[in-house]
Amino acid sequence: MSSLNRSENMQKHWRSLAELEATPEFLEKLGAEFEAGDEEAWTTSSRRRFLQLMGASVALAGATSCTWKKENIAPLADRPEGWVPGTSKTYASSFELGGYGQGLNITSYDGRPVKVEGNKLDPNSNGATSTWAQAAMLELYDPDRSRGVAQFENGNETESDWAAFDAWASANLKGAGAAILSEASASPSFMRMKAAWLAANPNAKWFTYEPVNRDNERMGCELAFKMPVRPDYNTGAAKVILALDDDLFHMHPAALRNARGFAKGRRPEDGHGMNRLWSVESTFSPTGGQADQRLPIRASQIGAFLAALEAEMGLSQVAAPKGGFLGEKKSQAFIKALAKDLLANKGAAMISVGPDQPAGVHARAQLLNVALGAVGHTVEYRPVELVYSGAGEIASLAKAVKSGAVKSLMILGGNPVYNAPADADFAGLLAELKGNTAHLSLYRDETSLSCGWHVPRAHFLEAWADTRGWDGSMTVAQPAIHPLWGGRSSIELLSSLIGEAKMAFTLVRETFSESVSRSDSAWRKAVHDGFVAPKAKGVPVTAVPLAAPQFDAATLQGEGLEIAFRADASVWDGRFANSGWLQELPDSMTKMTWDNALMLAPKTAEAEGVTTGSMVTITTAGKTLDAAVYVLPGHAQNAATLTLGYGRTAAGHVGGLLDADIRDLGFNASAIRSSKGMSWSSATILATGATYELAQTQEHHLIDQTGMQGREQRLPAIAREGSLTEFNDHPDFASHRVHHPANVSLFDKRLYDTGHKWGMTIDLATCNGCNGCTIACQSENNIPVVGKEQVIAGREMHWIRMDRYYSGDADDPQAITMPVSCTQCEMAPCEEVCPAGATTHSSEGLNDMAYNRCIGTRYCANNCPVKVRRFNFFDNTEALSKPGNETLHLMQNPEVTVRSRGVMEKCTYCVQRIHTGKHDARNEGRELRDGDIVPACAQVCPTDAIVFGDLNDPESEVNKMYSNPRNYELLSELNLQMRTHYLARIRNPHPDLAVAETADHNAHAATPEVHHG
Amino acid sequence: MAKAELTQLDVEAIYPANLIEGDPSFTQVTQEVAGITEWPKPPRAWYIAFAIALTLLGILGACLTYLVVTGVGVWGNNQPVAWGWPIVNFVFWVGIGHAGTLISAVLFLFRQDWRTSINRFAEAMTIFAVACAGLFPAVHVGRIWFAYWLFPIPNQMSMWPNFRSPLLWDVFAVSTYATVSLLFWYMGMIPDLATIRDRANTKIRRMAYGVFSLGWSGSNRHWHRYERAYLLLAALATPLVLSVHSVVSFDFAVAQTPGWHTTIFPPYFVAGAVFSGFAMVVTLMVPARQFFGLKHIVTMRHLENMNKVILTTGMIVGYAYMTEFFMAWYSGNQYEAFAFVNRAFGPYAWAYWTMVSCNVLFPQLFWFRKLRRNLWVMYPIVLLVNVGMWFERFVITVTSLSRDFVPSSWQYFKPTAIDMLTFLGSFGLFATLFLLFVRFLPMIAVAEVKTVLPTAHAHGHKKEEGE
Repeated sequence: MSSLNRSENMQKHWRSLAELEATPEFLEKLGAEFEAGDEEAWTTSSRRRFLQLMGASVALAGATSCTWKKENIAPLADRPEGWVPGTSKTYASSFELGGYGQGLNITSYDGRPVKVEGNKLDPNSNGATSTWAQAAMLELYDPDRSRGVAQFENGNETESDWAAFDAWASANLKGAGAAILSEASASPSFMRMKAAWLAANPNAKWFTYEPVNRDNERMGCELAFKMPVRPDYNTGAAKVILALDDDLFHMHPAALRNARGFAKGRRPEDGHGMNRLWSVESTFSPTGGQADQRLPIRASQIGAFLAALEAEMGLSQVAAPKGGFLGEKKSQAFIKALAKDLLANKGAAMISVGPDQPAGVHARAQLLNVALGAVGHTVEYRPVELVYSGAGEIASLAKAVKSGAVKSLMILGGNPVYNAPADADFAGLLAELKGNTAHLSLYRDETSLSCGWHVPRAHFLEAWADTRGWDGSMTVAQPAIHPLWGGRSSIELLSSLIGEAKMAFTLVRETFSESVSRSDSAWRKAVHDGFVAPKAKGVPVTAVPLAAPQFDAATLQGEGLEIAFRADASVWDGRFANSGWLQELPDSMTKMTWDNALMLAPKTAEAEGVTTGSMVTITTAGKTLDAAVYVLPGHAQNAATLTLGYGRTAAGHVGGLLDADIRDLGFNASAIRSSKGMSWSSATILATGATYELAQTQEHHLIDQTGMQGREQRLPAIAREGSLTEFNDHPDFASHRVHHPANVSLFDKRLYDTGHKWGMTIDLATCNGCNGCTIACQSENNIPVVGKEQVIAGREMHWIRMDRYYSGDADDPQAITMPVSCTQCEMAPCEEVCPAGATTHSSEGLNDMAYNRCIGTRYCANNCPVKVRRFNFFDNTEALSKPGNETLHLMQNPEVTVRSRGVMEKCTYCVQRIHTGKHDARNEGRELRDGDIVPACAQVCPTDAIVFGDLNDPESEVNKMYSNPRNYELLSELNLQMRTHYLARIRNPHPDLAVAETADHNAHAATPEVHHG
Repeated sequence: MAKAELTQLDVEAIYPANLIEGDPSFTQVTQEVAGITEWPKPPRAWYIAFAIALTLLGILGACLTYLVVTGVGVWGNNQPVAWGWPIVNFVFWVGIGHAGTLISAVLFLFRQDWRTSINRFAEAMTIFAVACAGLFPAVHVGRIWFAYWLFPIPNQMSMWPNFRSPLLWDVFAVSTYATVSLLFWYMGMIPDLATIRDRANTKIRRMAYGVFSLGWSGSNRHWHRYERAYLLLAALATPLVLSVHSVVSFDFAVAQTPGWHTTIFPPYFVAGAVFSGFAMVVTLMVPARQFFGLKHIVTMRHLENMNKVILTTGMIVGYAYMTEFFMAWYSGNQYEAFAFVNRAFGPYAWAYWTMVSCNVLFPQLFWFRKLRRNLWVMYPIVLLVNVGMWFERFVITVTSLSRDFVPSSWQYFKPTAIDMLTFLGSFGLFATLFLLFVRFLPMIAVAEVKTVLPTAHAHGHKKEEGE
């Protein structure tokens, strides 16, 4: 405990901010921040807490005052203990998406947060983060965020203030006739405030809508167990995993934990044996790409598949369904082998089902989990915190509005005007309430524009909150900065609606006292750690047998086209549409940026006479939408997928803003997603004859025969993989994929045998293509966003990219993902050819870039065999200097140069972190330890596929990886002595199905040896 | 065979020393060549051509201004294809710049007298082509305002270029070549400039030509030193013919990109350069001799000789294409093999086959004497050779880069309108300089031509034969 818990010390410090004291506006905020509730609670908190508050205040005073009208500079007379200007501080926080949270660490410099990382202590994160959580940084500083309360009348916007809104709310949002529509949230404080509001307004109504929800899962569990539970998987304990239409490692609330557990069973040299992932799905998801066995079938056929599987396993009372796709040899063999595998691994098998599958499929799958003895080993059941939040809620709201039961509506977050079911006509519903509507939101989005009021929401990095982890843990979300635009969080707003107007901190602290512990030390620990572990292991369940198999026999044939709607890996349900980072993040499988598209299997596209880029008109239940086609190998046939979240018309200057004539991006799936078909529905498509240009970072154009052959020929040498059998026979098979004569160099090899010798390994066996590294790198290294046109032109800037290759049959291919960044060649070809000497080698083996010296001949990029160099073709940071975009300055990492136009850039192994690590070690008077320095990409990786360290340290993790038998060097025949090595991917096909598989893998014999003179 | 049956053509073939048609006197030659610069008004065609050239030059200026203001992104260059049209144009223009020195220096040393009618013209073309070439590497860098860092200029920043980089070698090779070519051209022009000075009838002309003729008086000592110096410069310039394009080829050959990394590049580039240079000389010569009435000085024989060089070098280039393929196969290196298969059958097959037809197939027509002496045949062919040689550089630069080692980075390159306009504009620069040259400077080396006139040889071959 520091001396800072003495309030006098605090007082003294604040008094020294003479100018601040003189600002009434600041004092008001200061008062508000500190006044609420028990002052004791925070004054006795840790140094961390103090610094956080102080940092927020400094940022407010210096650069981010609410209105930009006034800038105050507040020199500190006495430097507070523990605060060194220019050094970073880290605070635990958390991020909620779709109702559940995930622990974060926020890095701040002088009171401005610049980087989101995972919370190492929280098992839901383990240091990793989703791309969405990381992109929160850009969202926080987004210049398009709403900057104040506004009133809308007939589409006219007038600025207003909180006092006016509060007056309106206290008059209108009260008693019978008042209603709230909120997002789904399992946050304890949120649920407490919801209860409090409902208690204060017993006749009021509360609705919850989440366009991407897990209602079906809950309903399924209720069917199976007669109690509201949800499955929590322990993938780490599973030997056999069956994912039914489930993107378990990307779109699941516990995706990071799932991926981490799964990765445990992917490193055969560990001696734990390998797990096996079976994936049955419609869309080729990254999880499907990880699968050892995959069967593409339509989403609606999963039920029939499961029934056939049950029958095969001898667990079904009724006869197995026959015919249709189940009549195919491939499916039969698949089901047979799968059944065998599951039964052989009782107690170590698990079945997960995607949230879009109907309740019946969930129910049967969970019953199978019980039958397989999964409970307590690979599956735990936890009580469901969330209420139902599906299309039914919108229907109930509509009914209530129509009957006059609801007269005023407060919408907490969400964007129902944009993403409510197409048949709900939500905008029309709001119109019926004649302006007696308000929307709490980060942006003045489609819903705000249709409401009477818009009130700005505090970003999650701006206000105290708590969330619930998927494992039942509670996370405490610390703010990292004072609200930039004076927003309120949803719990603050609810508190003001019931007349308490407490600050978020007080509310969260109260919740904690009520539900966890009244002890201050427990609270301080929770704030420090960022989370409180769940109390119980899980709830016991009793299986309730189901009567009949839950599937429709009509689905077997798979006739007609079926369109599935899925959350988008970039923009989720559209809420992240204004994030340039996410928009420009290439999708793991399609490599598409800035758009979504109607994904079709190659054969289906051929039958429809369309191809990638063709425009089609999609018709479902009377609604139509024109969208572009993307041909996705491995997609189920006669099925289509369209992701949500595109076609935003009031997202902002990045995601589409009709008012400013900024075209919307992609195609709005909500326009054809009706309440009856939220997951999928039958559809027809008709080519319009028009074409649309999609911006992909790989295969910018459809590849020709020659290119295809060349790619196939070299792929086994680039992204090396083998089967478990091959690994067991020859653990070092990867290094034998390419044979070449000994490399001889004209020059003496520099040895780097003293000091540090940085190296990295990337494990292709555990990389699941989640893209976390790409965004982490973008955030850490101030990498600019270039826009769709520039991506089409091939000028994206990502320093680490995720290569994805398919192999085998286009209808059912295998995929492999491979992160590629600068490999820091010891004999770097880029260095030799630079006439200006702008790229040179450091004594530690880093291939350094001197931006100041670069004149931009781009020769280095030509000579780079892995093409990881990125050139600033334009002034890519121009946006920073545009008026109104000042907040974006705050987002830049002060440790990394912002590059100018005409300069080459590339991965540096996060050289700034290397230096920080070395300085810290020196300051502490010790040697640098392995793990002190972690580049952003390695830090974020949920499966620890990326390992960085000192090759001169014999005990370092990276050295161990170097001696891993799967270790190989890319393009070793070029004698570049790359410092980044790869570890080959191992697939574990089921022995009964392996015959067909080995043909693809027996690449060694098929590939001519590479010789390089 | 009876003598009477010999046609004029046969005579020329049998007696190659017959270089100038008719039997012009020294005065006539002087009058005809120097007269062009003295006409009160050039022919109308000149005005039209000059207007077009200036327009194109204006386009170049506009494009470059836009480029400097906006960034290299205005071109089609992208991540795998970091060098696009600007470098293609650079190599194209440097290649064209080869003919001049070859004709002036090499043919001079080999005592090929027929060069006298065309050397000045070819040298001028060289200078202007090198000027166009030099423009591109300078403006193609990302930070144009720092392009001077390529030169080893001692500075307060302690910056020194990287001498291992072929781009730096390029800077030296091209600047040396430009300097020597300029000197050679200018020195060779001194006696003719003096002639024009002597004929000048206005003060300005007298002053201007006077300054540049460096006090030439035509004395015996002047001539003696002039010829020594000319010989020395020719000897100095000769290795440059080989070195410049060899060094330019190192930009590619030293890199490890498949399709670039081949040892055949230096000779192959030099042959290609001579090929394209001669094609460009013919391209310019044919209209020039027509408009300025110099058909008897630049005769069909000259054109034919040049066409023979085109045929020869074209076949060397064709041979190089085949060798590349053979080596790609013989190396057993899959990346190398793919680079060439991809050239011929990949997405750029159209460019590759354009190149092969223009450079290898069409010049084969020059095997036929009738065809290589026919203006209507030779002109389209030399134009096609110009096109083909541009495509050769395009194929080498762009197709190799667009698909190198790692397939995820493969991308098709698309030029932008600015790419095209800049290239077009470079023709404007070239043509402007050229038109000014033909208007104000002696486009034929008068003094040299006089040495090969029949009159200069009291017993000229033709006359002997005619007796």
